[in-house]
Amino acid sequence: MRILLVDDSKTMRNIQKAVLAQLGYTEVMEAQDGQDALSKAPAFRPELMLVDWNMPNMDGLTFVKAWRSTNKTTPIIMVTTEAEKSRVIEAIKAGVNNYVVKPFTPDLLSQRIQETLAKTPAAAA
Amino acid sequence: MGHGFDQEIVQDFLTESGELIDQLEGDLVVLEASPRDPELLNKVFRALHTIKGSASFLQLTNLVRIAHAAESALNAARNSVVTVDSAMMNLLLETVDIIKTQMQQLGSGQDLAEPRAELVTMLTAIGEGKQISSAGPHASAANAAPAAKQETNAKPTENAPTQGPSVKKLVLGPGKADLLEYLVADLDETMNKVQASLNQLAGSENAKGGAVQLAETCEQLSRCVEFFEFAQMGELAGAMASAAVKLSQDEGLVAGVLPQLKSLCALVTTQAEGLKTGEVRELAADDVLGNLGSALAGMAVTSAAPSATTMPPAPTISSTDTPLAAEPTDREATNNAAKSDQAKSVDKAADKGGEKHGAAGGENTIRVEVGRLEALMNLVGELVLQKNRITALTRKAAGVREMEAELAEAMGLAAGSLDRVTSDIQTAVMRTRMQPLDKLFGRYPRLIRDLASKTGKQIQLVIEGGDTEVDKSVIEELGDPLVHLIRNSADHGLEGPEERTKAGKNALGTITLRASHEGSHVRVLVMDDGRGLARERIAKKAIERGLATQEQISAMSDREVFNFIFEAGFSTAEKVSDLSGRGVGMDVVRTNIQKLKGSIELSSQAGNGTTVAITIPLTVAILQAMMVGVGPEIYAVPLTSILEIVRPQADQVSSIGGHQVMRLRDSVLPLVSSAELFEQPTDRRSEQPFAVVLQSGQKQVGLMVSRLIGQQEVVIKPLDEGERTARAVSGATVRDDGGVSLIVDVEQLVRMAQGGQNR
Amino acid sequence: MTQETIDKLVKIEVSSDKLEASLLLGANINPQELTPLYVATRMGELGLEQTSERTSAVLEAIATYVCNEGKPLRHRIARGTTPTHGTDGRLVLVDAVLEKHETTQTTARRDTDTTTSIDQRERSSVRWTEAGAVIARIQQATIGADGRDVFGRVLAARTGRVFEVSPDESVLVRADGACIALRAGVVEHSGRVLRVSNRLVIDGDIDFSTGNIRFPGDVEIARGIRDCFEVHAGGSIFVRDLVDAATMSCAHHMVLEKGIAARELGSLEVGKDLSARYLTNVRAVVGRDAIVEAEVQNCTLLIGRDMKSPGASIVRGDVSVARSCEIAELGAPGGAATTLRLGQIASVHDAMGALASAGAKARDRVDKANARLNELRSVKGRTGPDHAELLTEAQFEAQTAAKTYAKACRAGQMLHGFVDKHTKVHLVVRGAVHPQAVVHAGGWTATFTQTLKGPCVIEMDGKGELTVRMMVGKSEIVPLRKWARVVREEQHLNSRRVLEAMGIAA
Repeated sequence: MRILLVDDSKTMRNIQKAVLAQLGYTEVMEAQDGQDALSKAPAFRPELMLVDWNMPNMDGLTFVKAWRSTNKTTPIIMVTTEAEKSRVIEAIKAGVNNYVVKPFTPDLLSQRIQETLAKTPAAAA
Repeated sequence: MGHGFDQEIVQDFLTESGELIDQLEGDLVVLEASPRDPELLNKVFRALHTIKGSASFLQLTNLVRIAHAAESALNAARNSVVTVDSAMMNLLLETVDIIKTQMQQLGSGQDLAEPRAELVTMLTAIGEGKQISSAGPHASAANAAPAAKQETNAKPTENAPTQGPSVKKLVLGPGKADLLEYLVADLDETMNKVQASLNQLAGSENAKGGAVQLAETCEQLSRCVEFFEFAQMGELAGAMASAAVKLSQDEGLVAGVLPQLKSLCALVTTQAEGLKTGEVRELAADDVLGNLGSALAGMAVTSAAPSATTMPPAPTISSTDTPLAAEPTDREATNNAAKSDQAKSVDKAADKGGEKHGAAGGENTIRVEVGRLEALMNLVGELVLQKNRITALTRKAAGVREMEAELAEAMGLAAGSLDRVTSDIQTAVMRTRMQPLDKLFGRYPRLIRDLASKTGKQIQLVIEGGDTEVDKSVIEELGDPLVHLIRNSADHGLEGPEERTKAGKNALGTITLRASHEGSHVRVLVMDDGRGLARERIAKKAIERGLATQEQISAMSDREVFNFIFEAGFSTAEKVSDLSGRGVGMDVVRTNIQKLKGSIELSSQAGNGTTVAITIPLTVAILQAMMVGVGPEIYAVPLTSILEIVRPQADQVSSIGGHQVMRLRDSVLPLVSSAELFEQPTDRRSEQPFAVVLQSGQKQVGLMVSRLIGQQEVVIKPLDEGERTARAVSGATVRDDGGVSLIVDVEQLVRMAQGGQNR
Repeated sequence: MTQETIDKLVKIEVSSDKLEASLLLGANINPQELTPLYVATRMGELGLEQTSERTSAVLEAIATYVCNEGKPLRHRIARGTTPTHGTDGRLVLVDAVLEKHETTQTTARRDTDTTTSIDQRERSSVRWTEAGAVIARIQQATIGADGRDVFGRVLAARTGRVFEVSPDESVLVRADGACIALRAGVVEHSGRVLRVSNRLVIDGDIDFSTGNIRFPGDVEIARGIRDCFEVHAGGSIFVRDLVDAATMSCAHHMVLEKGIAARELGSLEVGKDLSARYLTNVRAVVGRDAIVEAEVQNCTLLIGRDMKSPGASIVRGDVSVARSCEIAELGAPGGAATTLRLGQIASVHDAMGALASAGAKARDRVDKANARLNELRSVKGRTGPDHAELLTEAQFEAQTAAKTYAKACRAGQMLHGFVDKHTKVHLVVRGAVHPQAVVHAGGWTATFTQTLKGPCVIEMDGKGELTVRMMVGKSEIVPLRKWARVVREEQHLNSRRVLEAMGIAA
């Protein structure tokens, strides 16, 4: 399972990586912002993406919109803060499959990841 | 034989009713897709009525009984007492089958079978205004139940009396409950956008823009609703989204689809309203969805060709009340809108039906016995021969010195116009025998419907080029092969809906029948978008059957391997199914096609489906031929098989394993000496400077000849079987100089040459 | 030249084995008369048939004779073929496998050795095979090929005798003649018998003649083991005679019929039971029971289950017994510092220490993480995304710490359960316990000041006190304090203490 982490904070990425490792997912690529993610994703062909909302250069929502214009299926989990919650609907409309609000516990994140993957038919295969 | 009527009258009845029943069958299938189409109902009713009338004149009691029962059931539908649902449709189709059987029995002088009493009872009950629920058409209840269930699309609510929407308390997980207030606010906005886009679509100012906008909004809506896992709302939004996407690709669909979209929009708005108060509303929407589906499918086919059928989901309406009439909130607004939209869509469908069926019914035709046409055809054949002789004589006369130039010129002119008139007559006579392939294709929606319900697959049949005309004999010979090919596609080619969805395909499998003219040939394609053929399995089977060795197979192209399917006794289906795969079939298909002087080719791509291409000459009796000379003899080679004619140089020709071959550009061409082939003295064999390059299937062979004489239209006279197979000769013809020429059977020739090489 | 003359001058000689015929030509034969036809006729008289080969040999002979101007000549004109006799079938042991195995062992040992010198003791002469190896091949008998003499008569070849092996269940004979060991062990081959024995029998001592022994099955040594040799067995070890300071290990039982005097150099590792007449100056780890007939002198013993030595005295040294211990005497009348630990599993003891400290650390970490979390949570008012990030981090730390702690607790409880089940304080003394003997049990250290005469049982009572129950007379129960100074061990570590360190109950 290839997973792309898009977050400008190294700490957050490390936490996410640790959670993913506990779930047994170790094929992880990291990107610092939406721009970085857009350049890395096509070659990496992620099967799941965790995307932070608030990032420099290109924010998460813009990235999701850009990505969804070419790829309709990769499951995306948006990492948001309370402040962006009112805009989550917007993200969902853009094609986000699930979201998690910061601060979150590792359990919550892993639950969201499993939930999202369970709904993706490709992940089962 | 009990009726004791004049054979001629019986024959007339059979002919007339046979056509009616064919038409009836086709119309019934269309009726299932738009069950309230009054025109169509009338037409079907009238057809049955006519059959019943004639039958009662002939005192065919058993036929009258069943026809009467069906007629009264249809009458109830016509008067909107009952609705044609799939259960009723099954009864009607069974009726058609019974009448057909009875007519066959009548034709062969047997007594007519009694119709199944239950069927008559049920039809009569419908006639009395009782909507039957789920009882299937089959005798055994065990058999009937699953069939009916499948065909009613397993919606138990369907036939129950309509009630208000079921309202459930909204239950959401913690991550989703938080967002509900935002969702509700957003839904308001989104539905307004949808409404605006719909208006723009209707306005036709910038329909395209509206459709694109609609598609985008609906997709967003669908994602949103799916995230919250509102099952039905998601289904509706999804349907809107996919319809909108289709609209944005094909604006021509707007008129047909718009009303359904509006209805859906109203339904979704109602549901969105419900969410505000924490309710999840399940609304009766199958009707609208069904209509939307058929509107999309029906229209899609209209743009390509006259008919198409989508099976299942068949739209079924169980009650004369529209389910929309019972909505609880905003009842007035939505209800009225939905009702009027519904009405419109029905009108629309009726218009279409009326046009189409009106055209078919209003043909000005006289019925001519086939025998007379055959005779005419033969005479035209003779005429062509005589014309050819005249043309030849004229040419000869022009070379005679004593002939006056003026006379020669006049003869030439006369011969020229005779030539033209003859070919016009030939075309015209041939056209009398021509019939549109629709006559054949019209049978297949029914077939698809049965196959779909038998296999539990979702299959749509798309027919393109049904107006392509072919010779009557072609229609007759083509019928069985096509049935077999379609069965194969439905049974083995197309996957079940789950497998298709898993493979990322539309759950609805498509079988396409496409006919077109290609020069003097007609090409019929049977395509499916199923799983395609498995080269390995066929190869394995071919080796098992001893048709080829492993080495030979590995050198073969996919196409060559696939063609093993046409060998006798070859079936890759692991288990014998009711539908196909009995080990006979594809070889019979090929034999039938070859009888028509046609060819059949198969191509397939794993995962992307299989295409069978049948190419048949427009007519079977007259052939464009190249006349070639070997010694004193002249032979006719079918022009369509000739790729080119070359004059091999000595250094191009060599011998491999005792067989002559020539290098032709990059390939090696086996050569066959026609002197040898036709057993002429050996000394002639060296004097064959020309190689006629012939193709059959993917194989080529060069036929060495001494002289090239020219092109001619020849009329084929059959030879007896033994003569043909032994000598690679398909028939004989009388030349314009009165001599007799044998017609080279290219396929047989190529096979012989290949066989020689393999040995 | 007359017919007679030429008949005399031309001779054809057939060798005694009838495999060769030569043409002998005397001097000065008239070339005119010496025709191939003449020679052929003479050959025919003898019964030598003409072949093209022979004819050309004759022609060559005549030509040579004529060229040599009538000098006498001897020329071979016919040759038969000798029969090739068949070979008998036989069994060929595949030495390579055995040799190779031996070398790998040696190199493996050498690699771990820091010095470059080769330990002569490692030159094991014992060969054994691994399961699955081809140990021998049957060379099939051949039928040979018949020969023919110059007269064309058949010279029969002798057919080789077929060899059949009669293997037992330890060897598989494949159709192609390969014999495969079905188990590891010693290849035994004699006549038609081929088998792999999983019992290695050494007739004499283990010394330089045998080298160290590593064998997957049982090892039986008819005599003893010399100083500093090693014997390792996958099965059991039986030694009939004395064992010097040897290093021995086995997965099953070890039976030393005499005993071991290891001079504090040797060590024993026994998977199951250790039986010996005596153990002197040895370190031994025994998986199950120790059965010693006479004496355990100055040994360090870790016994996984019971000490069943009612006739043995333990003098000096340090002996741990997990469960019941039955001995004759502990210590010596003259006073010898002898330590006996009851209810203790040595290997687990170390683990307990590690676990106790890890558990305490994990508990600390949890406390710290929770404090940090509470601190961050108590921040009032609007907080930015950075705060959310800090919180996520703190939550991650708190959860990770909690999980680690939970793991430690689970391990502690498991350990406690295990220890509880597999240990008990139960010492049966048939004879006496002498002063200066020390018994550690249940968190107490009892140093004997007086001789306790048995037979008696030392146990813990319901209050956790050490008591002595006399096995004769009224079988009264007396506190151990009567014979020994009993002190509570503050540093004593048991599984209960480990749990306490973690702040949880058993």
